[in-house]
Order: sequence, then C-alpha cells, then structure tokens
Amino acid sequence: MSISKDDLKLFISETEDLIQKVEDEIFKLEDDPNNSQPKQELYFAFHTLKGLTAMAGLDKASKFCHYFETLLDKSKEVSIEEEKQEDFMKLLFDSLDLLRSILKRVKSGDFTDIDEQFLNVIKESFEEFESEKPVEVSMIQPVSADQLQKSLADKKNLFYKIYIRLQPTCVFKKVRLFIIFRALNDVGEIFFSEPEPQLLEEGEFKIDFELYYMSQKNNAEILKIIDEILEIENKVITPMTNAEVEKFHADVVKKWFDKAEKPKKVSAKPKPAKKKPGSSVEVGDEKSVSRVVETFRDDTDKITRVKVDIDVLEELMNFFGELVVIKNHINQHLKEQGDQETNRLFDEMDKPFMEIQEIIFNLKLVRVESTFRKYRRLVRDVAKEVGKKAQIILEGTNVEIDRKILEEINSPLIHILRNAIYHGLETPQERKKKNKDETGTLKLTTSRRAGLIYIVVTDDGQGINYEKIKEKIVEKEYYTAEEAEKLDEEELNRFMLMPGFSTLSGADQISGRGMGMAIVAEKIKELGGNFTIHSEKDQGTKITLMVPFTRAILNAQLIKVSSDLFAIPTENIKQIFLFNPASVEHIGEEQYYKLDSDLIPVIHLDDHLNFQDDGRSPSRIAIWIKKDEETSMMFVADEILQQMNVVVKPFKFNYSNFYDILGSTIMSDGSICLILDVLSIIDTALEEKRFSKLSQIQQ
Amino acid sequence: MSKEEKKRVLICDDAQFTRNILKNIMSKTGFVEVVGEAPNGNKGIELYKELKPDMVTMDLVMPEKGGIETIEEILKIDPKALIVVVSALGQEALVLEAAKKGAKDFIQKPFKTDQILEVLDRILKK
Repeated sequence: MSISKDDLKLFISETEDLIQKVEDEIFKLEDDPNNSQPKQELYFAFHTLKGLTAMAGLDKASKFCHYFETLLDKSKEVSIEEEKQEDFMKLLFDSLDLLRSILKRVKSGDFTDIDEQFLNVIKESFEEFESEKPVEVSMIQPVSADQLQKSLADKKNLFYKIYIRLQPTCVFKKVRLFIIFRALNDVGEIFFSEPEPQLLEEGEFKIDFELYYMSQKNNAEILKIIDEILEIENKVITPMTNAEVEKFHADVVKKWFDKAEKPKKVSAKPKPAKKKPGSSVEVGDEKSVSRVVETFRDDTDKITRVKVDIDVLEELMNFFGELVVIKNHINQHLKEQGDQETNRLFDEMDKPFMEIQEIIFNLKLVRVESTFRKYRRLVRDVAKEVGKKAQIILEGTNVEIDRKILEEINSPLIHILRNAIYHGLETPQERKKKNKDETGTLKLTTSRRAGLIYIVVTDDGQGINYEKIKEKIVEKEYYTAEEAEKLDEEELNRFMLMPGFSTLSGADQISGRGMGMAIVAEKIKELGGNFTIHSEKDQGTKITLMVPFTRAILNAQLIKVSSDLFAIPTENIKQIFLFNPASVEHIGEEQYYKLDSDLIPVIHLDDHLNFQDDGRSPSRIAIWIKKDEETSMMFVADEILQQMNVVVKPFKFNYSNFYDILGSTIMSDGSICLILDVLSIIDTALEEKRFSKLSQIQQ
Repeated sequence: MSKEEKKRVLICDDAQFTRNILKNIMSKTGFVEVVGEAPNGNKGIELYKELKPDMVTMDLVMPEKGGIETIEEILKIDPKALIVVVSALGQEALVLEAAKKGAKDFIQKPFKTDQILEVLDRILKK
C-alpha cells in the first residue's frame, strides 16, 4: 500500500508523539516502579505504535512493538521482581532508542524494517512473558444415531456436506472457524466434520475442511450466509440424501462415538510424532535482549538462525547413520576386490561425507538456554508454592548440547531444582535466623569439558541432613549405629539414592530425596552420564551432572587389546604415545607413567578387562585419557588402528561390572566392536582407591 | 449514486493514521461514506447513538474504553449493529472474545485495500 505524502506526515507526527509519550512514561515508571498507571499508558502506546508501524508496512517493527505490548500487559498483573526491575527498565529504554532510529530513517524516506533475525531473538527472550489465553472453539455437536433418526424423520430437515477452503493468508484460523460455525449454527446444526470435530476445533487442519450440516434452509440460502463471511477462498455445498446421511453416520460418526467412549484404549496407543509448532530446533546465534538492542543500533552483529522441523532432522540423522554403516561396508568390500579406479572414486566421497556429518552434528546441537531459561519461572513458582523465596542464576547457558540429551535431562533437572527448593532451602524466617539472605539462591552452571557436559546445581540451603540418613540406615538395619557413624559422605549419598530410601515419611516421600533422586540417578546413568552430590550443613548442596553432549554417531579410535578390537571415543583422548616401559614408575602396587613432571596413573586394558595373558605386543601404545582438568589416566593397549565414525548402539544391561562399556557398534565386516567407556573406567579405578596417592603426587 | 443511498460507516481506532487509510479506501469505492471517527470506545458509543451507521470498524485495544466493552455496549443499544473488528497481530484470543460478544467478522492490520473492499462487498453491500 502506497502512503500519500499527507499520510506519511501524519504517520511521522503520530509516531513521534507516541515515542515521546513512551519516554515520559518510562521516566514515570522509573520514579515509581509500583505504579501501574505508567505501565498501562505504555501498553496503550506500544499497542498503537504496533498498529501504526504495521499500516506503514513496517511489519517487523510492528511485531517488535507487539512483544513489548505483551510484556507490559503481563507486567500490569505480575509485578516485576526488584532485582529484575533494572533489566526491565533498560529494555524499555533500549526499545525507545530503536523506535527513534526507525522513525529517523522513515523521516529521511528510508523504510527499512527491523532485521528479521533480530526480531526472532527478541521474541525468544520475551517468550516467557507471553501467555496468551488459549483460544478455544467448541461448536460442533456430533449427533448420536437416535438423534439422527429423529432429525431424519422430520422431512423439513435438509442435509448437506459443505466443503470450505480458507484463503491461505488466514491467520486467526480458530476465530475464522468460530465465525463460520456461528453463522451456520444460527440456522441449522453442524453435526460432524472432517477432520473430526475435536481436531478441527483445535485448528488441526491445513486450509480446508468439510462440515456435515443439517438445516431447514435451502442451498442458495446457505450459500448466501457463507458468502457474507471473510477469508473464504472456495466453498462447495453438496446436498445429501437421507440414505447418504445414514451411511455416513454408520461409517464415520458412529465410529467416532465408539472411539470417544474408549478413551483409554486410544491414548494407550503410541502417540503420533506430531510436534507442536513451537518445538523446533533453533540453530544459530542468540544473545540476550539488551545486548542485541545495543548491537542493532550499530547494525554490525548479524544473527543467523534457521528453524528446522524436528521430524525432518530426526529422519535426516537416522538415514545418515544408516548411510555411514553402508559406506563402511562398501569400503571394506572395495578394498578387497574393487579395482583401483573405483577405489579412488569411492574415496572422493569422503570429503562431502565429512562435511555433511559436520553439518548434521551442528544441527543436533542446541543451546541449553532454550530449556534452562524456563527454570527461572519454575523456581519462582515452586518457591511460592511452599512459602519460600528463591532465585536462580543461570551460567554457561550458551553451551551447546544434543537436543535429545537436553530433552532427557530436563525432567531430572526439574526434579533436582524442586528438591533444592522443597528440602534444601529454608523458609525466609529460618534463613533470617541463620543470617542468610531471605531469598535462597540456586545456581545452574553449565560447561563442556572433554566431550561431557557438566551441569552443576548448587543451592545455599541447609544441606542434606546426613544425621537423619544415618538414623534411617540404623532403623532399617543396614548397619549398626557405630558402623553408620563411620560412613563417609559418598556412602551416605549412595544410601540416599537407593529406591525407596527416604529420610522423610508419609506424603513427603514422593517428592523427598528418596525415590526421586533414585530415578534421577537412573536416568543419568541411562544417558551414559554420571552424577555426584556434595553437601555441607547450612552451606548448601551441590549436585554435579555429567552427561555426554551427543549420542548416535561418535568419532572413535579403534584399538586392539591382545587380539580383540575395541573403540575409544576420540573426544576423550588427549594424546597417544608409543608406550615406553622406561617411563613407568612403580609406586606401591600401582604403575604411573612419567610425562614431563607429571605422573599419570596407568591402566593396562588387558588386565583391566581380565584377559588371559596371551601375549602382549612388543610395541605397545599408551593412550592418554583426560577426564577433567584434575583427572587423567594412561590406558595401555596393544595396537592402534584407524579412527572412524561409528554408529553407537546403546548398551543396555543390568550387570554392574559391564559399566566399562559405553555401547557397541557394527563394523564393516559385520562384526561387533565394543566401545569402551574410558571415563567410567577412570571413575571405577578412583572409586576402588587404587590410585589413592594420586592427588598428592600430582600436586 | 446519491448521497442518501451511500452506506454509512463509523471508524473506531485510536490512531488517526489508520483511520485515514480506512477512510481513503472506503471513500474511493463511491458507495461508502465514513460518517464518524472515534479515537476511543466512549466516543465510539456516543457517535453510534448519534449517527446509527450501517457498519462500525472496531480496533480492540484503545485507551479509556477498549473494543470488547464497546462492542458489548453498542450491541446493547442496537442488537443488529454490524461491527467488524480491525485487530493487530497476535490477538487471536481477544478477537475470538470480540466475536463471541457479537462482532460480525474481523480483519487484521496491516490490511490491504482488497481486504477492506472484501469487507464492504460481503458484509455491507447486500
């Protein structure tokens, strides 16, 4: 739509006034943050700005205003927490700057809109404030067979099938349905639909649908009614004979009724992999709002982001996984009998293959922020629920992790956070007595080290009551009182994680640190991860989760132990050496490998795996595996082979002594190769205190 | 077409800019006359009583009195009033509420000339 000069002048002057108003009101709000009047005024101002910018063709600017409008609308009811007040004000001032810069451009005739990607970032950041009321339309009453017979008996009733296709530009589909249903129900009754009523009313249709309709009006009259409705691209009204109606009812409607009567059976079926529109994976850069507002001003930082449908991504990964296996098969086959030229051509595939893989790897990764951000709300709500005050500090939210894993750790984390608030944090009164800030602080720190994601949850609450755990141990007769007294933190933690072992009784048991933490432990183990608990009385509790950052395809170093093939994830490997027996120092029972000034504990894999001594290779290799900054070990094997990408089949087992195995993979010749969980082997070795002097030596 | 036969429309919107655009489009059709403009709900109700227009376009969020309330009150005065909501984006729940209160139909900002013509054609010109 072209805007006339006069209209443009009007646009500029109205926008200018509104921006001035926004500024005035922001200052008023700053002076008196609890006054709702400025918020109300800001809300109106942003709303009107939204409409204005939209009419001027600045769609993105309009959306920008929309997000602010929504935020303000929300803040009218829920007051902004004190510590967030400053951020909130900064956001408002930033928005003011942005609007001014747009207006300045418009004045000079430049209608450049806000950058789309920038807008997406804004939207993301505001998501938690956005809580539009659900839009519900319910206007179709499927008729039972009895009702239908009565209706059929009345010869005045006419039956129709009405096909309606909406214009593709239709946005508020549910309201559109409401308008259509209302118009038709005024002079008749919609008795069924395709897609079936519930789905249709939920907006589960693409662009067209069919209504089964009963009315005493004739075809032309119905047509006229529909004609008065907007956004309908096409409609076809087909009369139905009584016989057709009866058949339709028996074939379709009756089945629907049967299904509706057995809801349990329906829900027991695996749900189709239908994803909500919001749940797609976001890839790309993301910044906090205020920073982005700043960067927008100098227009330098471009944020790239695409949305990818989860199902498509899932399929892509699965097929690529299959492809990797097939490629390895062909490779093996060609090496044995292919001619040179075929081999050469085949090898050319390596490069694009690697690149696709790289891309897929990246696609799988999402920032933990997307999920963790929601915890702020959770913490606030849960604390409120139990009459406590709590805040959460998120650190390292830009760490990327496999989306699947992020999904899986979500519920354990929620559990841990809930626990921390329920049982860790004291009530404000108690905290005051202890000279603590009334508001408890949870901290969620994420970092990535050596192929693992470390998620540390700390709280500054009362800590785990180990005395109670000891009492319980005695009460349940695991140990005597004297024995229990001697148990260390680690052993007490282990009791705490035992299913059904709870220090609380009765109703609290479910959310207590008994059953819940056992499930958390189970879940983390299942993911190939691990977790530790450390607690100090009145200082708080620290729970560290370690989970692999990705699954499925792994780059692995193939090695031989004696004559058997194993794989080690390359991400755990710091360096590989030729094993020099002269570098080995014996301290007590154990061996250490001398590397510069460090002594690294040695694990001979053949010993560790209990292999019968059937000949070590004269030229052995030492693989330096680093678990974290403090912990590393030297794994000794017999032969080093190539590195390759392997598709990991998770290894499910219940035998605890198999914890050394991460999973298995199928080799090109069809044989199975076990992937060693070197990090777990390190843990086991440390647990057995085999290298008890380790810490002293390394210092 | 003589002036008496023209359809009379009242525009309710707090932004003059939007009102002007609506007015321009409608006037150009030759069969519509914008007889009143209201920047808020109270003024809208007042003008409705005074002018008895054939159709009202209604913004939903306005200072003093919002669109939903205004729709309700106008329909109390005249149950047959034809009210078309002109909403901004992201207000599906609000638009549905307006429809449930009795608004005849709705369009979204930014609208195109064609959309306004469609409104006039389908809803007003009978």
